[in-house]
Amino acid sequence: MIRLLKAQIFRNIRKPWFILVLALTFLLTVWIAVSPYRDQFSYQGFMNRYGDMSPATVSRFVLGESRPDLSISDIFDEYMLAHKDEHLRQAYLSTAMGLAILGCVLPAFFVGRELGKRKIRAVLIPGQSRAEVFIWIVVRYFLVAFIIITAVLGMIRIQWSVEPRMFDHSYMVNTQLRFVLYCLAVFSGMMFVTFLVKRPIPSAIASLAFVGLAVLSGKLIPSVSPVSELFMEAYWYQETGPEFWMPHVIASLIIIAVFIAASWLVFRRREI
Amino acid sequence: MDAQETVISARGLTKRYGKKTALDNVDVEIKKGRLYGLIGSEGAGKTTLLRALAGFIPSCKGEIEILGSTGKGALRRARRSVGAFIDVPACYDELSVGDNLKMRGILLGKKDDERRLELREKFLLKNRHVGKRGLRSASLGVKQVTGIVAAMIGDPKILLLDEPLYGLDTDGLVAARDEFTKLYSEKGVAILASAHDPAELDELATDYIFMSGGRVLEQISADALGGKMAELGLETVGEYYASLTGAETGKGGAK
Repeated sequence: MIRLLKAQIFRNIRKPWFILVLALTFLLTVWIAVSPYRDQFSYQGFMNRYGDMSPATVSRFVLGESRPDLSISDIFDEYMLAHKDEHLRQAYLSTAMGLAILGCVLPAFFVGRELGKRKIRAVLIPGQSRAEVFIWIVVRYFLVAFIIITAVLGMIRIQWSVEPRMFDHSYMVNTQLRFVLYCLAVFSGMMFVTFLVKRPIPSAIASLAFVGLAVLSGKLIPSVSPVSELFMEAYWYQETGPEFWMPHVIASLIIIAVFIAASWLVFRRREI
Repeated sequence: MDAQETVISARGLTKRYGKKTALDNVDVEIKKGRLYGLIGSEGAGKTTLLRALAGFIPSCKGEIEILGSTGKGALRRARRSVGAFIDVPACYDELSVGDNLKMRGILLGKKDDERRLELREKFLLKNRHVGKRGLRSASLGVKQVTGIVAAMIGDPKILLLDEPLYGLDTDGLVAARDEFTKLYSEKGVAILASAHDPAELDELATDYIFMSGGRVLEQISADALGGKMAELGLETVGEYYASLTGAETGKGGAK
């Protein structure tokens, strides 16, 4: 496994686009972590900054007029409303959705191609364990998908943090964990489809059909698809406990396990 | 390890693709320090046999013993001593020749940079332009030679080569023939190399394995083959193969 890791690092650092994506992801992550917007648009950040001031001072400072009748929380809402343009929010939503789809589609497509016959020959040489190669390739692309999805979530958090509860622990577990797992479930399914179909264009078509089905199933059965969930704003704001999200999490984990197991069963029997 | 030690022994290898039988109860024995020419026409089962021996066909029936090891785990470990170039070079198209060879060294955990550079020099840099561009844009000869050199990295005890001399230019042919001879005669490496045209392996092979229709027709040493050909009044190995397959199909027979 260590040799595989070394060989793949050697291979990947020779790809300019890989370095670029890695650098951009790193910068985005740093930006998410240190961005002033994070504080500016979060209730906690707002309170940290203005919590010990009087409502009159805060409203004059933030809204441009003195509004002693409002509480700090109300001023925050007014401030967010003033700064959050609905169209902008929708644009971010679309972008986020696009990125989330890319976060699933591209890595899943590439992992399927990588597991395919021609590419695998470079690493699955005589004596090399199939299990090691499979684990290495799948884990690598899972990480890529996870990084992209997490970056998307980071953007959503920054741009969509109207609600203070966006930063609550329960909200994180309820919505974001579910979202990541749903995306990874879609990724696993697409990986299997791409791997099974083998040829690039048919596998790309099959992958897109798979996403289409995921979206469609989400439209028909709202709790199924993470992609369609993004359209359903109300869904993001639901106050729900473990009894609601736990079955979704378990279902996603089962889907991921089933597709990975299916991919492995095909891979271990496939001729090189 | 004595000079006549068997390094590969396969018994009853059978592989079917639907109704087509690619390998039909094949038995082969490969010994150390010899170069076996695997001769057969299109669809004879040469590549399938090489792939089965390399472990690239998991669902192949029969028994394989490599360097005295049998059983899944032991066989996999034994195959670490096998270098293979089968069908197409096992390389990444986007990497250059040098990087592909370096990567193979890393993958095998072999820091034999000297050997890698020696092979690269011998095969790829003599009278040949090998740039830093990806293998994708390289000529067939360069791709072929990259596959051969990659298979030889790590000093394998056994080499499985599928039509290794096909597509090589004169320099490549000379280098390959020279290196193969050194490997089996001086280093005791066992080489099993297939060829569409038996003439490619003239004066190189110490033994021949003739295949047709997924079956081994005959496994014979080059010396014994020379005697038989003289008896039959045949001049080339190709003619001998034709006589064998003619006898098989009933369309002719040994002259």
